[in-house]
Amino acid sequence: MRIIYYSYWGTYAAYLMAALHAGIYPTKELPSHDRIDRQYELCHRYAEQAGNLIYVGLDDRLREVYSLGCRQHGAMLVRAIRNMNAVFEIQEPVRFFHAGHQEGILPYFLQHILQFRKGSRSAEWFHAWFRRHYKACTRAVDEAKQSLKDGKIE
Amino acid sequence: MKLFYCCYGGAHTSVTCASIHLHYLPDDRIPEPVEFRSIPFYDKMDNHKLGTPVYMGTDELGWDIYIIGMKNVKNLVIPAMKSYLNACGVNQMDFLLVNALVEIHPITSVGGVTSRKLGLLPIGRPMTIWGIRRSYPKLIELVRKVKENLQARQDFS
Repeated sequence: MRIIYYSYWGTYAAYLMAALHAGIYPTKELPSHDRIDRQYELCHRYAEQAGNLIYVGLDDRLREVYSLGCRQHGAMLVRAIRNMNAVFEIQEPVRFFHAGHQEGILPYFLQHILQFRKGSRSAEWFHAWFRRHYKACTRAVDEAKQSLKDGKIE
Repeated sequence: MKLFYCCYGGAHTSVTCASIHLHYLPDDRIPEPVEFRSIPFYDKMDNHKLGTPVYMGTDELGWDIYIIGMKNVKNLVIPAMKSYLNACGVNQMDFLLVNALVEIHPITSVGGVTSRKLGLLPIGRPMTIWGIRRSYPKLIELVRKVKENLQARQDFS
């Protein structure tokens, strides 16, 4: 099975949730400052590109976990990808989890207003965003994992 | 092997190209309006199904021909499809995406919105047909080039 977390940006909440799901980030506490910095760097470099799957890792059941930036066209991209399974007779199922609810407005602010300019304190803003949304993302990932156990789709 | 004709709404241009490709519509003359009404999926794609590929048939070279509507975000949908297929281990040579939006007469777009978005079929559908008939030679040319490409791929492999 493949698991895809998607939202407007593929490198903020979607990536955070995918990293939690894959066990890259700890669930009980915040990851180290260095690790948060690495996601900040990922946002800096790749947040503007959308549509490409970002491979995050394998979860505890060896399922591939990805994040995906969809802008505001998540539903259409989900349909397109789901239907690829039918068209190409891909047996391995794919599950999508929407991460947009955990994203908030700050990523938009970072991307379009601050644009990671030097001296804009964008790294501090990113760390604040990360800390603020971490618990909610952990809960959402728990729910996602539970729904996978129950066999629910989304 | 799969070929996808992509356009905005997956209802007119891509369907016409796929129909020319599969000989549902002629490639040596401009078809009569009534001929458009008889081809499958013409002016049928609903907005909430955009992104869903629809199978139209298999051509003489064995390629399965699909149509797909992508609104104006093919720069998003195409990478998503390609990266997913890549992750699934599908060979990139086994599928081809063709942009069917080639200098279409603006009346086609107006008719498409009238028909698909506003639901005014009796007004919108004839407008799309009128516009598609004006652009028909360009669509024939596009399909001819695609077929040449497919033939070259076959010869190469």
